[in-house]
Amino acid sequence: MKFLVLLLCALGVANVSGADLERGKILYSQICFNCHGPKLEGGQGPSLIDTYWQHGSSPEAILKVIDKGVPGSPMIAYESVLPESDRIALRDFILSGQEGLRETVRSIYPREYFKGRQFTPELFDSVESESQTSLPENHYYMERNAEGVMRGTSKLYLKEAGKYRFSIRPIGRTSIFLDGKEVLYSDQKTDKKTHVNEAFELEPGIYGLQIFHEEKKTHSYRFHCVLEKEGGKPRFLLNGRSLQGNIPKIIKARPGEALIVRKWIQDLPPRALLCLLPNQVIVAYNPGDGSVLGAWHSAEINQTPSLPDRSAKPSEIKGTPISNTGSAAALTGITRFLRYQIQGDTVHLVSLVDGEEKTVAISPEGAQSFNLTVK
Amino acid sequence: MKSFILRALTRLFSFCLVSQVIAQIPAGYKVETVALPKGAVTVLGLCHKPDGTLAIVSWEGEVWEYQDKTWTRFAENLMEPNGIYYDKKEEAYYVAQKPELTRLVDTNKDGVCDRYECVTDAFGVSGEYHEYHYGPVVDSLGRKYASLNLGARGDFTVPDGKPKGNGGGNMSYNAPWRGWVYRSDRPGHFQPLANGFRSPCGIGMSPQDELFITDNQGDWVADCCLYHVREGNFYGHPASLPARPDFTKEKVLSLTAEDFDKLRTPPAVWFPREIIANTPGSPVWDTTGGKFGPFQNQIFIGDQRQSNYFRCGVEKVNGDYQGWCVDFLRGLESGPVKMSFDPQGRLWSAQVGRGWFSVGGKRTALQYAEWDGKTAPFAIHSATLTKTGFEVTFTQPLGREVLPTVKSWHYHYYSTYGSPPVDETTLAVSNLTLSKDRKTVTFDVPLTEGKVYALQFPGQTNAKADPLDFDSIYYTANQLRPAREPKPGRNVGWDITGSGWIRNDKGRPAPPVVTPFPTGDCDLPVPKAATVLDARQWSNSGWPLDEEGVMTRGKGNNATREAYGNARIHLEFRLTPSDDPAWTGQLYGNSGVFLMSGYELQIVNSYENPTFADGTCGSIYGQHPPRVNASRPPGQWQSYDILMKAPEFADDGSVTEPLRATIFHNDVLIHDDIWIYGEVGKPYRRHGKRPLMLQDHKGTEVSFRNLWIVPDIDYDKSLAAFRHNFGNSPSHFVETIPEAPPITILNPGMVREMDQDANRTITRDEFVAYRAARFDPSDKNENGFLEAAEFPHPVAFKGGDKNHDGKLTREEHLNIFRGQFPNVDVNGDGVITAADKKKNRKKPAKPRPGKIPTRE
Repeated sequence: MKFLVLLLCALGVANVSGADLERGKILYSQICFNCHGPKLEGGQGPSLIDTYWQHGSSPEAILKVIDKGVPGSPMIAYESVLPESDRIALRDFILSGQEGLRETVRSIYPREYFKGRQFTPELFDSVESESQTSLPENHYYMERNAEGVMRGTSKLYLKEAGKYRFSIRPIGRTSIFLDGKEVLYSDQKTDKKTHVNEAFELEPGIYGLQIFHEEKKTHSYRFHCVLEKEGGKPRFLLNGRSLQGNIPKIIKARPGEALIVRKWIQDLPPRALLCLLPNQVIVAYNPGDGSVLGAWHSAEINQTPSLPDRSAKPSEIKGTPISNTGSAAALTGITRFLRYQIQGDTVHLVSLVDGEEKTVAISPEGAQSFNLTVK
Repeated sequence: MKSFILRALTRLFSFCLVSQVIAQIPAGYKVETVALPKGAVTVLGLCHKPDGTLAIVSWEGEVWEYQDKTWTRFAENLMEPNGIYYDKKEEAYYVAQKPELTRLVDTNKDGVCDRYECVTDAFGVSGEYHEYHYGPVVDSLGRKYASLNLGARGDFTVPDGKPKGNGGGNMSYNAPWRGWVYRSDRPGHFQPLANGFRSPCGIGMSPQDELFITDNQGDWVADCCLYHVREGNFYGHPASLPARPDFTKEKVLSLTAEDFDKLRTPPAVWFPREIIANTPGSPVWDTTGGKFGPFQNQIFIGDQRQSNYFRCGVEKVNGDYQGWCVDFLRGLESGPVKMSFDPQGRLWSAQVGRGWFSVGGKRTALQYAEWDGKTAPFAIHSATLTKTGFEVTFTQPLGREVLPTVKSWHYHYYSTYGSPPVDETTLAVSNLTLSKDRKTVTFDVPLTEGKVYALQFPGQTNAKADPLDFDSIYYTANQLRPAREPKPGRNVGWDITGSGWIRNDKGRPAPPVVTPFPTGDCDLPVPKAATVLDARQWSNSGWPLDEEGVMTRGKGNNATREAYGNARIHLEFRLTPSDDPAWTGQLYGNSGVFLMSGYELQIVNSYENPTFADGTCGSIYGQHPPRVNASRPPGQWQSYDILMKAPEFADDGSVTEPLRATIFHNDVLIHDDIWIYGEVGKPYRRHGKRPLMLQDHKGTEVSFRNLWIVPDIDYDKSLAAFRHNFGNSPSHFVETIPEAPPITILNPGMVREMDQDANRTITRDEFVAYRAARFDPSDKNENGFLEAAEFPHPVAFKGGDKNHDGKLTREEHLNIFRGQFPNVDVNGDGVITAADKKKNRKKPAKPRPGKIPTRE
């Protein structure tokens, strides 16, 4: 705990004391864990320890979300709930859980200027960048057919002391600076093809990371970089793909109104109809025979987070499985599924069974259950 | 092969660079972009309502309507809808979602869908990513057509001797009817039409009710292309064949490219890759009446990779369509996949750059192209094949005419991904002539059938010295013009809607022959409600009846005294054997069951007696061949079991509901809720109940027995149960993929190679055969033995070399693997299945001699 206090002080966040962090931890385990998970790993709300920070990962940005909330989501504004000291304590507790890259910004510079010059932060500071983009994904990527030199700046949070080393794909020219000191340099054109640098000792703390990189213009960017501790753990991948416009999509029923969703869920047949009831119960219905393939309470559907992968990768049902749902077929005979309709909090699933129309109605029951009837 | 890839890449690359500099938009046209609704919307399909409202479907599963520059969401949470159609009569949308063809209805008219109806889900979906479902398009009878992509990464591919997956056969049959095009004419109806497709992303219906499909190059598909789809035909990708009643997976694997080549129908138009298309979308026909420029009735297609619109035209040569393609417009924002003309004659496209890279660069876009109504672009208008060369028409009079450059090539047909142009040859051009209006040139070139011709006019200008928009047109000459055009037959003009055939078409494939179920099964108890059609019930006394109740065909047709509408009918017939060569084809035992006195179910001998497809025993004569030929030999009794629904007519005499029938022949389902187009040789005309009639026809003797009819049955209610009669189901002859879980004890690549019949069971022979095939490649010095250097496992080598001569014979080599089989057949049941799991190999580590483990 002591080191975290030092760490946060070093960051200039505030005068953080161990007591404040303890306070933040208590508040978290009383309020926040409901949505963000007991270990900040996420649940109904987003994870607070992964690399994707939709609203920014700087101490100011995190505090702002706590203060103002996120409109249109269950995240309310705590400004009017908690005193400022508590909100700051919470923010600091969250920051103490971070590891890896944060506050990542990618700037692009014109290529000509850097021809024949050594990459240094000072050199980059002496010229105007073409663009500056905050990357909430906290990994580096470039657009297709990108031109120009990339300068990446991030905060690197480390929790473990040890020998670390960077390794990169030796493409084009790359320099990596840690707290203003060059730790890796590689140039494909010269003899210096150092793609793995010497290991160096790092203490837990927050470091200023800068990456300078240029490569030949291609349709897909080939920059690849890993930072790992000796022994392989922890290991941080510094490049990735854009998640722009791909904010994780959570689907759940609106109050008082049921919903039917077709999404590919692992281990469920692709024709399963996912009936989302207003009491947050999800029933996976097999239209072939009227059987219930599975049911979950306190549940929602998480569509895969990256749009390029959406549907190529299954979505998932997050929730608690309800046991003894009875998997027996509700319909017996020669069955053909006809249609579905929503009526308030109930879904109506109609099939033709031996020439007669049969309606299976699924409606919420209590807080954690559902009721299935056949008419 | 390598050089080809390199060339293709260079071509693509140089093109990318060019296209980003100049969008090539013909004079008089402009392209506009429409902002999409906010949020994640990747457009996959679009259509127009008659009032001009645009509807789009998105990959994310939503339907949006666009009217007065405002977007409203109509439906959501569908699964990858890949095409949309608005039915104005029903005021409902139809969308092809991954698992289902769905009808979306807004019953309370509040602008949001509130009723999701399943039209059909009779095709298989394994959940594999590539199993797209495209469509629907609609014929003039309102029937829906859609296409089903093959899967990938499945067990059943057709590698044709090449390494599975790697060079031979990527796409797989993971579930029934993948790689097929089907028709659905009402909820619950599913009629597979044609197969052999790989990735039939484009589907379109011509104004003449002809179905066309575009496919993507890949395994078994040499290049992107346009097919004219005819019912029953096979279009080249063999992984779809196991759904056909006359194929099993084993049979498909026993055939070679040469065999499939004889079966397949070639594309009407090839689209040269990287030049015209890489991933073509749906064709649409310019029926705007000139609102979209001088290309009326031509086919417009967009390409997802190239981000362009190109034009096509087809013409019939020897009765089959073939034709040309030419580039039209380039520089769209993303890759067009579906297109639609709006009422103002603007060409809209749904564009997507996801899944496959699109030159346009954007993830998705919605754009339309519009003509200004007056400026004529300078372009190649069309081309036609002459007996000795080509005739090419331009949109404007030419300046000085230029001698065209003509190249030809053909493609390989094989399991490898795509084919390079083969035998690319530059041909000598002669006899160039220009028409009086200076718009049409004709010239001669040496012609060979089965070739693609690139007709190029580099430097050709119009009178004002403007260059052509695109100077090359590509003609696919599957066939050459015959020396003398044949006279039109008597069936010309009797087109069968949406099937691609005319009545009694000799080219239509014969229905697949299957073995009928044993005779004993057709003894059916006569239902209580049935009227037994004995002697008193028949009006023609010229049909003699013997003491056993057997009635023989006599002079003149024989009708029942009573009239019938909806009915369930059973009858048995027997064709007297004959070996007289004068009495074959349609003369071997001809009669017919005339439902309601006018709609003929054919009776003829079809046991080893070929005839045209829609005249086969069990056909609805001149309309529908039976799904399968289940005929028994002459001399044996055969049965028909019929469930039929009478047609319904409007007051003005027009038909509102067709006659439908579901029919079994010898207990085999031969028609599944079929739409009957009219009386035999006549269109529908209004009538009420009419007698059942048996036909008198010239031919060898036909007898009947056990005739009964249940009148006034409720067809729709009885259909589901009737369909499953005699232990049948509509998918009786369709190969399904075993539910067995996949084998895990071997790595997936080995499983694919070893499990040749893809039944998720590896026998000892399959296991050893896989290894046997490795002997020759390993034998680098080709001396017939494997030396230690040629075999990677020294311990196994030592153990296998029984006579210690330092080399392995074939037999010794195989014995090694015979010996290994028990190691993988863990449960010892003689086959490797999912049940064989790796044993827990954790053994306490033995200290090696000389090394004492120490604690560090």
